[in-house]
Amino acid sequence: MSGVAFATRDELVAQLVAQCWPHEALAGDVSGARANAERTVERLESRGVSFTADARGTGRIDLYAANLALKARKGAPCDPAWPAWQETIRRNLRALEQGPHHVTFTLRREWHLLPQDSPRSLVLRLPLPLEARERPADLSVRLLQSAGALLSQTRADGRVELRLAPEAARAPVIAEVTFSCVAGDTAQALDDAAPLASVNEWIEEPDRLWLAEKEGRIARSTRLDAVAAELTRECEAVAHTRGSSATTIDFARAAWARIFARFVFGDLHHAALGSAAPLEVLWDAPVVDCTLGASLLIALCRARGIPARLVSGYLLTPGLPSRHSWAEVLIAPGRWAPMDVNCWDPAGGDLLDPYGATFFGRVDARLTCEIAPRQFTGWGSARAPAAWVKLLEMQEGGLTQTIRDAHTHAVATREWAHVTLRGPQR
Amino acid sequence: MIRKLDVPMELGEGVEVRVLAWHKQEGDAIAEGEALVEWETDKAIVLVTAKQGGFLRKLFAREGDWLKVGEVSAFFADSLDEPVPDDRGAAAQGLIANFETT
Repeated sequence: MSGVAFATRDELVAQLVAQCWPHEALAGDVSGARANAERTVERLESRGVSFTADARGTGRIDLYAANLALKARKGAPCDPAWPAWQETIRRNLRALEQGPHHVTFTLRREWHLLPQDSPRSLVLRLPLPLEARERPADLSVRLLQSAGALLSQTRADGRVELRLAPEAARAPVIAEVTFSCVAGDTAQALDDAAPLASVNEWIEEPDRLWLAEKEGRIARSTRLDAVAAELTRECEAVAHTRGSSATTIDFARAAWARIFARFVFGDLHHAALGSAAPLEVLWDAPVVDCTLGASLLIALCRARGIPARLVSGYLLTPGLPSRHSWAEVLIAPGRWAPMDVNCWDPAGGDLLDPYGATFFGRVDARLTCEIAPRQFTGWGSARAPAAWVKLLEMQEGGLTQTIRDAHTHAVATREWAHVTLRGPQR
Repeated sequence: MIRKLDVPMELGEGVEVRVLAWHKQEGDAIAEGEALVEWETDKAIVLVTAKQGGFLRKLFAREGDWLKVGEVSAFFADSLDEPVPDDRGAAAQGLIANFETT
């Protein structure tokens, strides 16, 4: 999958604006932001990250490779776009660190459905926050475009489900959800983590769900088991020098440090990992994205017998509310600590940077819509392409994310997210 | 004859499905080609349709329940008066069904 050329020049420029100069664009300087992005593309080309013509003669580039070419570890030479990108992330973090806020969130989702083998009603879903985390209020759901009639609309925890007549598959379906809620920084005290040695004794039965050896991409393997054993020895040695016993948080910190040191945070083609042992393949790759970084942390924790789970939702950054995944680790009975390796970016991969542990034990304002494996919005009747790619673009003060087939470029889904901060919770 | 509907191995190793909606209830007659139940995973919906007729006699899974591969969700019979075991683990042939994933 590496070298898949899928983005046009305009698409690359649009994504660079969203990543590196969104605040300039939001402030009205769209042409300045685009000019910065255009110059970045020229520098990429001069470095050999180039466009190739597709069958129709359209120049296309591997957007993931282009992104990776911009990034560098702290202190290493880098493209001028990378500090701008990092500053954007830091600015977003600063904007949200004042604690819980009232927010209004809108998500418009567009599904491009494949013809069905036999006519049947279609099930399409829009995300809602899980009510144990954030309680959505003022909920509004609108079906904006459908070639088939709306048969029913059902609300459940974490989702709104639309059931449509089979004719809906004939054309793209568009629906929108809006709600308000309170969301914000969630800091966890990490100093009361349970002992690592007795982890199997204090785990309660329901939490064993999050010890599964195989759950989608989270798959245990001989090599990950060996890494987990090595990390256990490491954190036990560190604990010994401080005169105490190693805890679950010591292990999670060691796994976190290993991921930071071994990988660059970026995008990669999931299809290249296969389905048999994706994390085993990933271990030799130089890159993890949010889902795979979290999956790796989870797999290492599970290999050591610590329950850990994949959580997904939306970052509530004004202007840039994007889909995101992170991990939660059970550090003591009933105590799940969030961990998000996404802060590799603002820290430049440096653990000692002030942002190096920003999301270790705490996360900023985000909606939690899914806790794998049993609480999910789900694809419903929509079908993910076998190999897909993701593109980002700022539109109408929000962020559009498009999932396309990596080979045909056909759109599978597109969603536009918008968030408004209404002020801090008092 | 008693027949069971279980989650087939072909859905994948380690896969669990959630019962999304039953299209038939206990006591309902089933005709070949009729939809029985929708299961879901985070990636897809699986529509289970009968490839043979009979009667749905006993449900072991309600909507929202999770089922592992091999777990029995219902018993079917050729008639309404044939005795049906209460134990979902009781020996029974598999119902011939179609599992359409979208």
